[in-house]
Amino acid sequence: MPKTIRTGLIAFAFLSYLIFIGVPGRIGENALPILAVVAGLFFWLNLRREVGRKGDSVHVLRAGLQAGATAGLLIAMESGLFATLLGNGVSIQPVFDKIVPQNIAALLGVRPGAIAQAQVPLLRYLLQVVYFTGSGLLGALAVAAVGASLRTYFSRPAMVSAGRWLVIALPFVLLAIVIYLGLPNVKLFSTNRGTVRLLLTLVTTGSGLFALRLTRPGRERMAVATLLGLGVLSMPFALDQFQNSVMGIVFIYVMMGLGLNIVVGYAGLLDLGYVAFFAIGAYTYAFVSAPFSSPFIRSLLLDLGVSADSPLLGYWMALPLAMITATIGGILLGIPVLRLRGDYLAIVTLGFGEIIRLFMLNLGELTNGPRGILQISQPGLFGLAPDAFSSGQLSSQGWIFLLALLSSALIAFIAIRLNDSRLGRAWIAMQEDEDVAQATGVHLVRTKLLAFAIGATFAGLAGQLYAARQINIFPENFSLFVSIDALALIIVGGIGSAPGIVLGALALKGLPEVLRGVDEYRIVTFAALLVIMMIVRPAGILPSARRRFERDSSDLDDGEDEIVVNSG
Amino acid sequence: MLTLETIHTFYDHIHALKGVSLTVNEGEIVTLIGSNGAGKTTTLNTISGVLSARAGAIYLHSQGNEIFAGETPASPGSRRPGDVRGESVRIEQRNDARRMGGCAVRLDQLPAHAIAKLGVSQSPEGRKIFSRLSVRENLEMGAFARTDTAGIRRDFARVLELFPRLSERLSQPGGTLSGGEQQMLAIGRSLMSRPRILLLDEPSMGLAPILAQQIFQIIREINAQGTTILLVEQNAQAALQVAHRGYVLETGRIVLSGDSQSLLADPQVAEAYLGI
Repeated sequence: MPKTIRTGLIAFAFLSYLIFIGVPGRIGENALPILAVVAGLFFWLNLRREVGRKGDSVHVLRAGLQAGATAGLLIAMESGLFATLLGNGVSIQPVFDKIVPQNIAALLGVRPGAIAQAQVPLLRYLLQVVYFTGSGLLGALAVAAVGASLRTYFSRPAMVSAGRWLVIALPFVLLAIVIYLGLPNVKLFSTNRGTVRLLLTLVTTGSGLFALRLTRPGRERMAVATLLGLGVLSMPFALDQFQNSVMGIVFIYVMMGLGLNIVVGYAGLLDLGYVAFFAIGAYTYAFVSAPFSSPFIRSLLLDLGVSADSPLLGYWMALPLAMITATIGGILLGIPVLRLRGDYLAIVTLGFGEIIRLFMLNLGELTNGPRGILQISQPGLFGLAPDAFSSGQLSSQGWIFLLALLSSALIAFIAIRLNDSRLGRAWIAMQEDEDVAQATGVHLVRTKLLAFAIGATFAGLAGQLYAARQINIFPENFSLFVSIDALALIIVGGIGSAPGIVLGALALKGLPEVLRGVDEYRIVTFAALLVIMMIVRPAGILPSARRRFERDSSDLDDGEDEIVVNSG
Repeated sequence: MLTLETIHTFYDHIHALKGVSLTVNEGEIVTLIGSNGAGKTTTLNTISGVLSARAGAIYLHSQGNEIFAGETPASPGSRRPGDVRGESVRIEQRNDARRMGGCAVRLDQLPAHAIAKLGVSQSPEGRKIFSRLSVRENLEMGAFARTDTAGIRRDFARVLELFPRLSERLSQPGGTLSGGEQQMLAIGRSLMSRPRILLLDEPSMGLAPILAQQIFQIIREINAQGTTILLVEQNAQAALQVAHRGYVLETGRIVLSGDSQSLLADPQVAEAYLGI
C-alpha cells in the first residue's frame, strides 16, 4: 500500500474516532471546516517525513492530495452510511450512542431535520471530500513552506533564544489569564467559563514544567523555579471550588505516581496492586478521624470509656500513623514476592490489591462494609479549625489542592534525591540484572523491600489526603482502576521522570474533567492515548535521561571494536 | 586464597558440578578450561554465591594483606571476616589457613552480596554491564560495598589508567559502548571492589582476536599488580599462556590439572581443546 494512502487511512481512523465520540455535534455548524483544519495539522505532521525522502515540493503536494482525498472519500462514505441508517430509522444508538442526527448533520453541514428525513443533497458529500482533500493540500503546503524558508528562519540563534524565552514566559502569561478569567465581572465568549479556566490551569501547570526544562541550570533555573513555585502556590487561591477539586485529585495522583514510580520506574518491580497502600492510608486516617463510623472501633472505645463521637487524632497527628501502616503494608506485600519477577510479580500484586479492597468490603464490623466510613474530618493547621480556611480566600477544595501540591513537592524532592543516591543506583542495577547487582554487593532483599516500603509510604500519604478530600470513603473508591490509572500516568508521562509524572497526571486525571462530554469514552480515550503515545514517544512525554539513553542507543550496540591498551 | 572442596551444584535436578575441587593460591592466575556445558560458569557462579552448592565447601583464606601493590591495607574492620554487615560469617581455623597465618571464611553458605563484600569479585560472562548507567556509574557500582571514599577514588584512577579508553566515555551510558569497551568496563567494575580474588568469566568472548589478545595482556598486568585471578575461558590456548596453573573441567568434573606449561604440552588437552 502506498504510504500516502496509509496516511489517509490513519487520518480517517482518527476523524472517525472524533465522530464516534460526538465531537462534530458538540462543535455545531462549523464542524466541517474545524475538523478539516485539525486534519490539515495531522497531515502536516505526517508529511514532514516526505520532504527528506524526495525533496521536491511537487512530490509533497501530490502526497498531500492523495492522503487528503483518501481520508475525504472515506469520511464521505461513512457519513453517507450513517445518514442513510438514521434516515431510515435504523436504531444504532444503543451501540454508538453519539451517532445521532445532530452529530452527523454537523459533519455534513445540514440541519438535523434533513438527516431524519433522509434528504441530504449529494453536493454535501462532495463538499466533505473537497474539504479534506483541501486539508491534505494545506498540510503539504505547510510542509513545503516550512521546509523551504521558515525552518532556516526559525533556527537562527536569535530566533532560538527568543523562542526559548517565549516558552519560559508562557506559563506566567497563562496564569495571568487564569486569574483574570476568575475575576467576578469578566465575561467570556463561552458560557462554560469554569471548564475553560480548568483547561488553562492544566496547560499552565504543564507548560511550567517545559519552561523549567528550557532554563539553563544554575541561577537562571533557580529564579524561574522560584517564580513558577510562587505562581503554582497562588493557584489554589485563584481557582474556584470545581477547578480546585480537579487539581486536588490531579496532585493526589501525582503523589501516587511518584511513589509507584519508585517501585516500577526505579526498582523495576511491576506492581499492579498499588491501590492497596492508597486504601490502607485512607482507611487508617478514616478510622482515627471518624471512629463513630466503624461499629467495631466505636464499641471498643466505649468499652475503654472514651467518647467515640469526635475524631481521635487530627490530620497531622494521624499523618505518621497513615504512613507507618502503609509502610508495613508495603513490607508485608514485599516479603512473599521477593523471588518473583516481571509478569508473576504483576499477577501477585494485582491479587494483593483486590484482597485489600475485599477486606474493606467484607470486614463490615471494622470498615462498615459498602456503607463506608463517613464524616472524615478535614485537615486543619496548627490548631486552627478547618473552617478557618474555607471561609476566606481559600475554598475547602483549594486547601486540599494546596496540601496536595506541597506534599507532591516534598515527595518529588525525596524521589529525585533517592534516584541520585546509592540506593537509587542499587535499584537501577537490580532492575537491569539482579544477579550482577547481587555480585557487586547489592543486598537484594533489603533493596527490594525498601522500594516497596517507600513506594507504599507515599501512597499512604496520598490515601490519607484522599480520604480527607472525599469526607466519606467506600471500598469502591479503591478499585483496580486506581492502580491502572497510576500506572498509566507514569507510562504516559515517562517512567522514571518526576516532571513526566506531573504531566501524565494532568493529562490522564485532568483532561477527562475538561472533556466531560466524552467522559463515557474515557477508557477508550485512555487506550487510544496510550497506543498513540507508545508509538510517537515510546519513553513518555518527558522521559527520564536514562530511558532516553536507552532508546537512542539501542542500535549502537554492534559498534566497531578498537581499543587502546596501556602497556605501561 | 580460595579452596573448593568437592562442590556439587544442581540446577533443579540437573547435576551440573559433580565434586569440583580446586585451589587458587595468592598471586596466581589459575585458569579453568573446558568445552561448552562443562560447568565453568557454574563453578564461578557457585563461588560468587549467585548459585548455591548443595554439597561441599568453599573457603576464602584471609591473610590480611591487600590486593593492589603499593596500597595500604583497607581500614581495619571493613574487611575483617566475621563482620560482613548483617551476615554471620563462619570463621574456621583450618590447618592450611593456620599454616599461612590467617583464618578461613566459609563462602558457600553466604548470600552473594556478603561474598562480594569479602572481596570476591566476578566479571560475568557476556559482560552484563549496567547498560542504562553511565560508565562512571558502572564503575561506582563496582565499589558499592565499599565505604572508604579515598580508596575508591584511588582505584577509580587506577582503572582509568588501565583502560584509558574508558576515561573518554565516562558520562556515556554503558549500553552505548562497543563490545571490547564493555568488556573493559566489566573488568574495571570488578576491580573497583578492590577484590582479593577476581573471577573472570570468558573475557575474550565475542571479541576480535587482536582485542582478545589485548584483554589477556591486561589480565596479566592486573595480576602483576597483585590481584589473584581465576580465569574461565573457552580459548584454552590463550588462557593457558597467561595462567600459572590450570584445571580442565569436563561435564562437571575436574579431569586434569597442572601447571600451564604441562597442560599445554599434554596431548589430551591439545587434541580436545587446542585444536592441534
